Amino acid sequence: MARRLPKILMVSIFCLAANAVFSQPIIVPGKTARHNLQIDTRGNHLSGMMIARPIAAGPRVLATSYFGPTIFDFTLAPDSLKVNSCVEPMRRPKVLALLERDLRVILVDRNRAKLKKQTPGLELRKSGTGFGKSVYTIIYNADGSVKQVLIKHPWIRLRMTLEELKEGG
Amino acid sequence: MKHLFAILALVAAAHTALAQTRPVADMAKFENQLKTTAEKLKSIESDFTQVKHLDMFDEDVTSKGRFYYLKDNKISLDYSKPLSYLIVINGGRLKIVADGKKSVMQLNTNKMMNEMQDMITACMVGDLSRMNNNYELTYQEDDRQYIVSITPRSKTVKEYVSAIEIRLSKADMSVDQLRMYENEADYTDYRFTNKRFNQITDESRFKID
Repeated sequence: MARRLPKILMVSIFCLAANAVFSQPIIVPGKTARHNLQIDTRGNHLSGMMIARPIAAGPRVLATSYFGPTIFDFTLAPDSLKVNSCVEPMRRPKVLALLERDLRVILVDRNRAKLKKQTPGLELRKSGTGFGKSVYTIIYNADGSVKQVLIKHPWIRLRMTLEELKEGG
Repeated sequence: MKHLFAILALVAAAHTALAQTRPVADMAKFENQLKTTAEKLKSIESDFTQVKHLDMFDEDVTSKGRFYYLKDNKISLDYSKPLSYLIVINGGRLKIVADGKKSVMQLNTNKMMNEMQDMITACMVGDLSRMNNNYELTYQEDDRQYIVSITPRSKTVKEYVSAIEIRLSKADMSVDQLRMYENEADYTDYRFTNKRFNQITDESRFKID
């Protein structure tokens, strides 16, 4: 055991460091985060921009098409979802609940989904079962910031990808 | 020093007078110019800058690209910033190429989408003759531009676009700026610069297959 201790300690320190470095939130106070948002469902590919910013009431999240019109605009209040605006086809309770859950996992607390795998550059989380099953893959940059988030809902064949948009495009 | 104040006051007054809008004095002249331009117009090619203003966020989202229009109803918006993105509208169909993937949608099977397509095309090229009774139009002018404010009457359309403001250059009656309001506070501006008229000969960029 004594001989193994340094190895155990080293592994523990590495795991702690990995957790500390690779857990940076997507949104931080005072800054607006912009991501390229891709949605793939049943052979259709949609693309737009997701803009998120923490405000007093909770994270404000807005998705817009590149052409201009807003797709949805939510405030993730601690105990409820405030729909500031949302295009009609998405204004269904089930769709809103699904989006709310995904956004809360990604933007508020990743521990809402169970951690299944973690390496320094990748984190795999899962939640729900059956039609509510969701798989979250978070890929990190070397500096610990989030590079890409992949959200899969296998049963409803819905896949969403978020990629950070760099300043200046 | 007195002279400096006088000059500054004069410049400020002149600027205010230039920027001040008033109802269009000669509607017949305006309508005639618009009709003549629409008849002569075959194509437009220009740069565009799109600025989405979101009141709740303290910064605007700016995109840039090239705009192409070919008579009738063929439009292409080729975005280069913040990333490559292409929109083509042609014959009641919409093509979007994003992230290297192509999507084609039928617009003319959905009444609302069809109306939106007509409205956007009419506004982007300044062909107001296409605006039917579903819209309420008011006309203003300043020394450089005609300003047309459009309010959709349909509740369904209003959910997407609550109002539109088009600024037409008095020099050539082309659209300088288009502002689409989603609500009172949030809007998207499209500014068109480096315009070239009736120069497009190759229709391939409007192809949807």
